[in-house]
Amino acid sequence: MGRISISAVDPGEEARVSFAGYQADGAFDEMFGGQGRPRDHYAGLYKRLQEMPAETLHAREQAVERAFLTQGITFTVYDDKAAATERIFPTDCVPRIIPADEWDQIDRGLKQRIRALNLFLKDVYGDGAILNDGIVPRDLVYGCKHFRREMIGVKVPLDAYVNICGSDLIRDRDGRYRVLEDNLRVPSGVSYMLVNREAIRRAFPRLYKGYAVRRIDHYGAALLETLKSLAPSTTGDPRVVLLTPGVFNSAYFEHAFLAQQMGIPLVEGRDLVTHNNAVFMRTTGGLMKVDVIYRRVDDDFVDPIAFRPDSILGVAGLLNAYRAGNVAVANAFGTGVADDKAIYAYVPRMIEYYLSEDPILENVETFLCREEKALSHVLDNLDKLVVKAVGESGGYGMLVGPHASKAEREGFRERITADPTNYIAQPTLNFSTAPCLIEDAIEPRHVDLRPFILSGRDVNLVPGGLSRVALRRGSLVVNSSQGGGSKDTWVLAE
Amino acid sequence: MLARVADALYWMGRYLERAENTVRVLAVQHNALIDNPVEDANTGWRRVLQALAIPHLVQDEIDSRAAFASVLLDRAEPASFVSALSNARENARQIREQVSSEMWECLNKQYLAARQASFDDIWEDRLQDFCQQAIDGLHHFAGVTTATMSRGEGWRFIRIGYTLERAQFLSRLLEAYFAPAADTGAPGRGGLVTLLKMCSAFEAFCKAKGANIIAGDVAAFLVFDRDFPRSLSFALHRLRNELTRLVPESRAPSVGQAQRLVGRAAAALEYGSLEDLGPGRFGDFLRTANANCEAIHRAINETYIAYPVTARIAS
Repeated sequence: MGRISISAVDPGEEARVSFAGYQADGAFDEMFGGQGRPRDHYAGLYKRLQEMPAETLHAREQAVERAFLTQGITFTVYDDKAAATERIFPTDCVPRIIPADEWDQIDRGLKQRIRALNLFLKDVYGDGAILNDGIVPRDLVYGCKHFRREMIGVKVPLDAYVNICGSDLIRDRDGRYRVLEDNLRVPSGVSYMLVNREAIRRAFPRLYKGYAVRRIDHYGAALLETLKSLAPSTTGDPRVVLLTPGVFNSAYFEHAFLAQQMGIPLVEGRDLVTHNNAVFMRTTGGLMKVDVIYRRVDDDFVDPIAFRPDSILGVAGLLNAYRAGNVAVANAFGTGVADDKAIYAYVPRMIEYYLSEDPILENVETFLCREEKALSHVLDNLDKLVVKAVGESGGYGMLVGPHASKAEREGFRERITADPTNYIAQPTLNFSTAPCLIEDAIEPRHVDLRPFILSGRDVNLVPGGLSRVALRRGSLVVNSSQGGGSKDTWVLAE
Repeated sequence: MLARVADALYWMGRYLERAENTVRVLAVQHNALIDNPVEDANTGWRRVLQALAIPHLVQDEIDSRAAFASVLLDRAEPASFVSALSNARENARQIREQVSSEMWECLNKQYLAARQASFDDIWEDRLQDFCQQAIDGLHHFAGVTTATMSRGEGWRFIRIGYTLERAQFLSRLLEAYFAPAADTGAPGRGGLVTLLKMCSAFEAFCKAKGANIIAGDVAAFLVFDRDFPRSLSFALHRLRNELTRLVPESRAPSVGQAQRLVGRAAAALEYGSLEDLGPGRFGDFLRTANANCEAIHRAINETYIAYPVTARIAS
């Protein structure tokens, strides 16, 4: 017998994914702890990745992306010729893993937070106790562009203003979870949480089975339960619909997906009419009363009579039907006042004020320039801080101190001094990194986490969330429009 | 069911039937041109373009390559196969939660494949393959629909869209052969075989009538046959069945108009005779059938889809 070489079949010969480029940049890393060793809950994944040829990983990632394309899990990008291109939201195939004890803290912390935020909304649209007691400045609330005076004194079903919340969490250098912002208007992304799971389970069945991953596929049922709990009490089995701006909206896939998961009609503004302060949908058999509307249309566009008159996406008379108590709308109108950049800074104080509890999840440190001590700190440290104008969003009116020129900083110094109430500042964040497949290597990329909190008769979260990842090296921008992708997020049962 | 949803399902059905008819006609035309050039190519194209209602492509000398390119894959041509498929898919996309995931994926895959196809790649040797794959794909979709969709109101609106489109297509196709706009002459045996194949009726016809193919038999078969799914009579009977079942599920107050129209149109076929297909009469007969289909379309729209809200608030 000749010698048999086993190297030809030894998988060790194939190109492995490399960890050589795995250099943390001072941020907390989800996978590796001290001395370059994987944390316990990542050990299984780390081992599996080491056994797997890069080619196999790529093939599976491509299969996932192909499946997304044929399933139409896409968002639409319009170019200047109004031609539409459908793109998939890039998915990184390496899951992000959250151990049970960390999730427990997130779960308790977010429930606590949503309870306080709902109490705050009830308060500012009601008695205003928190304003009278001077905890939150009155002008901040009344001056906020998302404050809706039409909601003053309106009875909101179950006092639950925010029924669907998507809070963005990040982890600081010490690995502490902190809330970066609360999205209380029409948060999106939950469909990607669900389809990522479905895709990754199929792509890596053995790895998935090896972990005790908690299920999230009951989200649709939980959402429907929450929505039904808001229905006007006179109705038997309430008729729930999902109101979408339509097929041209970038989140249209999610609207259709959720309607299908819940088995409810997906309606557009033109499908609904109001009559005698009630809402009806136009069916083939005539008009049919609607009891609950899960609306994915912003306040501004949802009712041309009450809000922007040029909107053609809304339902004329919806606000009046809502005020009459004939239809429930989730989320309630005017919730945006509680996720304003400046009011955000007061959420820990709200928790103490309404619940007499210490916040379980901390905010990102925020300096309100309206407060004298904070102002002088901000002006002394303009080169280290991120300064944001309160009324702006989407990166406008923002100074990123470390990357700004001296002239830009001096410009901001003048503006802040002239109108300190309009500015807040935060430290430049270096939030945590998680392993991602980049070319043939596993490299760290920054991630955030958006869990979804449902609040109706009860408050609950499905154990998971959307992990958004900045796929460009060193980037801290996780938005899909700017090179962001997402990851499946595994919350472990134990 | 939402009126807008019913409308989208109806149009999805219509566009899918239109896509299939278009691609089959093209495949048969291509085959006729290479294999059996009995008929003058121009005559063939005039009939095809009349049947598909694309008069603006008719010229003195029709260039086959250009005609195939337009009618098959030109996205700027509203009557092309790829436009019909895109429109079907766009209608499905607007009501994604109403069609099953299996249906959606099946349709979306075909849409993506058709959009990626380049005419230069398939011309000319792969044209038959391409058309056959398209037809297979559409049959697959019909099968997936049958296998996964509840037989509720949505199903009926899809069927109504399919059958109305089919009836109108058949009436136009027969008109193009037997009562053409321009004088293209009576079809010979080759032309009649082509006509039968454009309705995938060749085998069924031979089974029913034998291989002796004469014009009167072909016309009577495609108009009156009760059992063949691509006859005018069959399409209108199917349409009547679907529309009749729509009534009890609907609370629409003015039901009846569409049902009455379809009943009358179906009866004209049921009780029609060979005399109706005689010279000088056949054209009117077909145009009446087509006009009936248009009236049924309007009645469905006014009853179930675009009714005035004020009329229903009072009830």
